[in-house]
Amino acid sequence: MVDKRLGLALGALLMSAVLAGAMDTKVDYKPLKITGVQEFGQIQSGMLISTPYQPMSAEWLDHFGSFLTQEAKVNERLLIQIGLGGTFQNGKPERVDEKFGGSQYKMFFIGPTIAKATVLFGEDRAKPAFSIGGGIFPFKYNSQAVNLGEYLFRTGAYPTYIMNGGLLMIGDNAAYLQGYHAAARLGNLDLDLLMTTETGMPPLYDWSLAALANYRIMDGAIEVGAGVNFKRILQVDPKRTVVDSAANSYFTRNGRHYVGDPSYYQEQFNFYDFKITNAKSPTSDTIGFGAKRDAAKAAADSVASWIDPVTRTVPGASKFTPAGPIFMAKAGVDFKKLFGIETKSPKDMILYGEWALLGWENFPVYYEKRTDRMPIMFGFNLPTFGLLNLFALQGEHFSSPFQNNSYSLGGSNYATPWYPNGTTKEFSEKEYNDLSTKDDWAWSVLVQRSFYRSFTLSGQIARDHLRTVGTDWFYGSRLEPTEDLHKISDWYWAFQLAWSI
Amino acid sequence: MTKATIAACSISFLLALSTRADEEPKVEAQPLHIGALQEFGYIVDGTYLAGTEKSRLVHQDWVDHFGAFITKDVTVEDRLHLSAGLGGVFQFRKPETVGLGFAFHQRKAFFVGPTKAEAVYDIGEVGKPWLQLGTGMFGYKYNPQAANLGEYLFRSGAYPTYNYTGGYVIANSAGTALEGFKALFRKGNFKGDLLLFTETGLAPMYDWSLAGVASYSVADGLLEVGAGFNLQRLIQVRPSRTANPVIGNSYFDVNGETFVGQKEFYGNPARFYAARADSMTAKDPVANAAKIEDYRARAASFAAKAVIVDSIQTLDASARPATKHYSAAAILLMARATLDAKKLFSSDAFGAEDFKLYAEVDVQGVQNYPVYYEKITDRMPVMFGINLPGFKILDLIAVQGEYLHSPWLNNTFQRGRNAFNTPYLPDPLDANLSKDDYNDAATKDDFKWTVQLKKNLGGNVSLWAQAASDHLRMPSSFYFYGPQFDHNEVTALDNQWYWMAQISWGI
Repeated sequence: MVDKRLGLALGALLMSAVLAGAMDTKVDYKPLKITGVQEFGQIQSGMLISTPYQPMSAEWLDHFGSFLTQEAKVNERLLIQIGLGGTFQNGKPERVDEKFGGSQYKMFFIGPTIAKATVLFGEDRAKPAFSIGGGIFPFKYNSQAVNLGEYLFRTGAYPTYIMNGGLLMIGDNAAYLQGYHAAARLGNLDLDLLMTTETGMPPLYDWSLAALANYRIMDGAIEVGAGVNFKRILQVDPKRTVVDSAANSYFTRNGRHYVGDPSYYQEQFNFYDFKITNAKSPTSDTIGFGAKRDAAKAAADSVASWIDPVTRTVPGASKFTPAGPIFMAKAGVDFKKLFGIETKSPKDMILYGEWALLGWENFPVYYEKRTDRMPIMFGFNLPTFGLLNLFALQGEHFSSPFQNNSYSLGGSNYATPWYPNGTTKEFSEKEYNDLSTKDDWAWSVLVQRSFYRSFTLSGQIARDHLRTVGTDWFYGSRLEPTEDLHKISDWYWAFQLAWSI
Repeated sequence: MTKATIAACSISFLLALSTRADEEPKVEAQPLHIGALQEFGYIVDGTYLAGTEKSRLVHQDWVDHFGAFITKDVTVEDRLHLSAGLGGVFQFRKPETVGLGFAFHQRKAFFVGPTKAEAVYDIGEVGKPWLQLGTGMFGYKYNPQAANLGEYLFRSGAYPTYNYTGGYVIANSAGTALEGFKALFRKGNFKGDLLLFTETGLAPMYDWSLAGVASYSVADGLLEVGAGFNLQRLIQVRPSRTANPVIGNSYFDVNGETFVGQKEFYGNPARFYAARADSMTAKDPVANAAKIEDYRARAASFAAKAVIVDSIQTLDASARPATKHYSAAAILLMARATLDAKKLFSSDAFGAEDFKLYAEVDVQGVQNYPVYYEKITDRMPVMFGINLPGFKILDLIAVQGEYLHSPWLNNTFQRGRNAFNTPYLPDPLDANLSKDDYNDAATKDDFKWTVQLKKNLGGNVSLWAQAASDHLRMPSSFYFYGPQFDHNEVTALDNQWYWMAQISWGI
């Protein structure tokens, strides 16, 4: 593995060497691009998993960002892009305290928004047939995914999580990657190859290899695409990527699969025991709970007894890993082009969808069915008759048996799902962790109107995978481990005014 | 000089720069300079912490840095050069601790700020001034051959004795950033620089230092020699912070013997040798009898001195013997020379940096102090190096070595923790730093080395590779003073080193 990593470094340097050739310098500067954005809105209902749990009702949000970006092209062949910027945020929950730990102050998340060098090849320098570059850069393969979708780089398989948005709620719909990018534009066929390093979600620094293809038919009336992302294919510290701990393991005893975390069973026991103990009278709600309680208790006790007290592992157990390939397929139909309809907005009347498989391999207990890791996004841009630039309706179905949560990766680098306390009614009402059955559907409505060339006004209402900046969380991008909106009835609205020149 | 003098000079200097303010000036703006870099590599073997926490050894710890910078340069009336830059570097603090809350470190830290902000006025011929006067925040580098090691006139301190290399970026980061005033004199082959700058990096803050650096090249650059001084913390904005008047930062005489006021200096070795004696006794008291006796004797000797210091500490200040205090102020000296050996041959095969032999010797504090700083040679790093021929395939192949025989670890803990100008005294139970003798790790860090390769690609892209055992410090997940680095250099022990690769681009 060491050799592989050294090879990666050498490969990266060699690739970098390709980035530039000897040249007499002729530089074309683009004007400095300046951008500002202000957005505000309200989470109508939602919940944070901070301690204690924080239900949210009419929770106000306010973000402000500003960005500078400079592009320059050397000899029409080397494109250099540098941008710096940041957004003001207020962490959630807002905690009233004048000292550290309180959260009544602005946080400014600043950094390079893009820092990329790209060598362009081909006769047509304006639309190069081939390019190769590297740095930090936004990457977006599905132009229709204005909020939901874009799964190849915004998800994880184990634990199964989906992100959308980021430090902004509206328009923050690309993935920010760090690494190397080769692209080919061959007529109607677009090909992309990316080697990227993980500097967002722990465990950090692992490298992923991704490839994408996109093909346009009938002058773009129909577009299809597919891709694969071999996440964490190169692990810089394998013991961080695959943690050797009982709680991150699974095994088989007496013909039954178990995970090596007794608490997973104990919390189920706690739920059933609490329900039975607190039932005013035996009702249909607790029928069968006695058997489930006993089974959960037996499993918890057994697993605890199988853990080696010295190594804190279960002898012979296999380990969960966050590494795994993510597959994606997408398609879009532009009815304007298909039927020759003239409209003022090029985004009108496009029907689109995206499917992904988050991890090919099944694992016992936690990840037993691929269909549990298959988000499907679909959407349609309604005709706006020139009144708007975009009126996008999106829906998504994703039937994961667990919460959309990255807590285990941040807290322990375990590739296991988060599970709630058994006695917390917000998460377990009629069955243990049944809140996770209420988040299968997501939706989003976005309207957008540009004016005076430089201004864009947007409005969005959604039940999506929004995560706000966490007052209590300090890993990765500092967003909440769990999405803020846990049920289809949870939603938010937001307005955004952006200006750029 | 007084603080008021500094302020008055500063204002006068700025007024002098603002000539012809009432006329419409001729302004030439350069295109915005943009640059970025990506750097990654391994701490193959290293040491983190070594402060209030025991040291922690790491093996194959990945490092990833990403930086982006923008700089604008403007020239007014051909003579006044204004520059301002902003930028920053993404870092991950070390050691990385796995967890969710503030105390854990799996998140990017972005060290952002002004990278350059200066105004420089030319005096003399336009485009070839004999004198430049400048102020602001600016990069400064006096030894162009110091690819990694060296440049200690501005990257070191005397009491405690410490050296820095690198910064938020590891490769191609061998200069220093100063905040203050500069006067740059150029006459033929002679260069002379005078700098007055304020300390905003390592505490105690704000003190002003006065430095002079000169160099002279002979025989068309065949030989270049240079020398300099740095009157570090010459003007102290709060002397009680610069030389902390407390017993822990003091030394004093008792019965003709000089003691330091830090009881740990005696107590820590006493505990170490006592523990070693106990351990050997438990294993084999007969076979280890001689060593056990030696350890017990040493433990007793140190313990007796600790009792003396303890008794002094308990006295009322007026009843104590006369104490003197260690100061952060110091006089640093530097001398260097470079022989460009390729000038002896007439060949076009060599690159501009090939075949240069060079050396730099520094004195980190002319003054000796009792107990901790008794020999000036313990504060004299000697750096030497050669640029191997790259034959225009590589632009630089620098091989550097350095020898510094300090009896202490290269560690700034006491500055950050206590405002003491005393060396770091490891926990006696820190087995990484004290194996056979107390603090014997300090005897294993005398020799440092670096190999650095560089290749420019087309003028806008550069590749760097560096392997080293140097004075690298990483941004710390535990310590938050100064530049927020670890107290101690990372490659402190035997056979500890790292490698790093960097690509940078800009225009």
